[in-house]
Amino acid sequence: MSGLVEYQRQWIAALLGLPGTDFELAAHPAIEIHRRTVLSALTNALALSFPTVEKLTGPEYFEQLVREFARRCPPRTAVLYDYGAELPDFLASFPGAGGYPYFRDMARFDWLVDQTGHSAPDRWSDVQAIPGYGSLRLPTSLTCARFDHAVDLIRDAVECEHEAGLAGLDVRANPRWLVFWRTSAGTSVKALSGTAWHLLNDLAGGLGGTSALERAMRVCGTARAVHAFALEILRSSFARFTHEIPASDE
Amino acid sequence: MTRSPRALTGQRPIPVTAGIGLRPAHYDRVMRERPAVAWFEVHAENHMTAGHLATSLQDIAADYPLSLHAVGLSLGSTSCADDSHLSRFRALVNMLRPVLVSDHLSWSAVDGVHLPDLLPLPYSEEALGVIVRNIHTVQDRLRRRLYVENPSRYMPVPNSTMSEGEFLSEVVLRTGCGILLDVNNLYVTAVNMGASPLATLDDFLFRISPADIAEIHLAGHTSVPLRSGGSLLVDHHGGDVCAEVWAIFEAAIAHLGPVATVVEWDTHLPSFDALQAQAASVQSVLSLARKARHVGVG
Repeated sequence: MSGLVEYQRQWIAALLGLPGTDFELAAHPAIEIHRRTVLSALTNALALSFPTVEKLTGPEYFEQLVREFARRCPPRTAVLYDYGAELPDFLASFPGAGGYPYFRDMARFDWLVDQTGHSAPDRWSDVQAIPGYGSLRLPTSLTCARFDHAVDLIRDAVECEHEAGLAGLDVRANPRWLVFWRTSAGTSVKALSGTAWHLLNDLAGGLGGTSALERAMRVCGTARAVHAFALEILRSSFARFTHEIPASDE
Repeated sequence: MTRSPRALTGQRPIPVTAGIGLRPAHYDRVMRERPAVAWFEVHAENHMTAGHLATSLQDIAADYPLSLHAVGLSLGSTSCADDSHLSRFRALVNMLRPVLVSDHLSWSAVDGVHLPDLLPLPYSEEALGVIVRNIHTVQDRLRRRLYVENPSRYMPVPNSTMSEGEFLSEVVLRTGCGILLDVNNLYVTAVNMGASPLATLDDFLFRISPADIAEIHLAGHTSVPLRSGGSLLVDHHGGDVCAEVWAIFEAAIAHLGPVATVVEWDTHLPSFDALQAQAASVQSVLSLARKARHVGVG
């Protein structure tokens, strides 16, 4: 094996504290400088991607989390904006996190906000015909995600640093149906009813206007489906809706 | 060994003046006021998503020459270049059309694991072969000349058989790449290795043609105490350029003539006004060197 390959592997092992690290290399004082640089860069990057988790856990616990996460799931990209998808699941089983069952959901929420913010703004899907209504376009950045906790409300309370708000938070398990999309100002998040969420998820997933609406009517009843569609989707700021029906291809 | 055609260009691609290291905190001001700045240096990896930073920078790139400085190409990696990263990087270069593209004489990745640090290469024949291969790959993909920066070092690297200046000159010879001379890194490395910074600069300038040095970096460094005792200089890019580094810079300019120069700040970022003031100080040195050349002094 090439000496240089082995040298580079030993360095990575020494910096991450992996088993089989070359003892002499790991003990060199200068390795400390590089370890601090790596940990600091990863901690800063993940704190930007998971700001609510970082505030909830505190900087010391968060740094420990990052150190262990980097060992288990080291970055595979030079673009640190892309690093961290596995953190929510890792956090769920991290020592100390067990007493906070909403942590995993909170990390998933932070990640979706962050990743949506990195998508291109002002891009819209193809027009979908909605029979009886008109035409609908959705942002290509739109993502629907279901959570077991009211993570959007937790995030808002943490951001405001409002003691009473935080104390009054309901962190018990309760389904929360959220939609995320990119605007020029960043990521927007909105809570929907379960009916509206499933319908929107089908529309965004390319099911087609007719099929999506029919499915919603079948599952939830016509009145509820129509109500959800008209009031929660068509009137939302994430939908571009016109009453014109697109011409069909002959 | 013959030089590749790129090396024969000798033309400096970037305005031969002081520039400013532009960071996201100052984007709004630049977009709003369009200040009188000759060129900006920006970091590539901050803009490799479709987010608002890339959009803002595209707006700025319309009016200012950009030097695009990367840390993620991992030129010294024994693993072949990450194809997907290279594609994204090329897309960024095509979008911004920078006048200069650079990365470091270092490595960050192996076996698919990529750590956010510039790790030291031994200056050996094996490492030379690796970095030459990778620079060719990048230059072929980008269809332009790449500029390679000398890094900071905190420890001697075993199996090195050449000085950094010798290694770099071979890299330039075999690939036609250019050099981004980081005077602060040169100083930090020399002090950490117990060498004379001026002697190290002399070695560089003896081996590398002035025509191949298109940009100079200046920056701040700090002394970091070690748990084992002693200390090392670390280029933290979070403070003013010290007098010793200014002296090395002036010595370099006396030899090279004016070269596009930027002061790097990555932490404790000062105000944009302070960056402009610092660029003015750099410009004074460059202007003096230009005048001295015109009157045949030096």
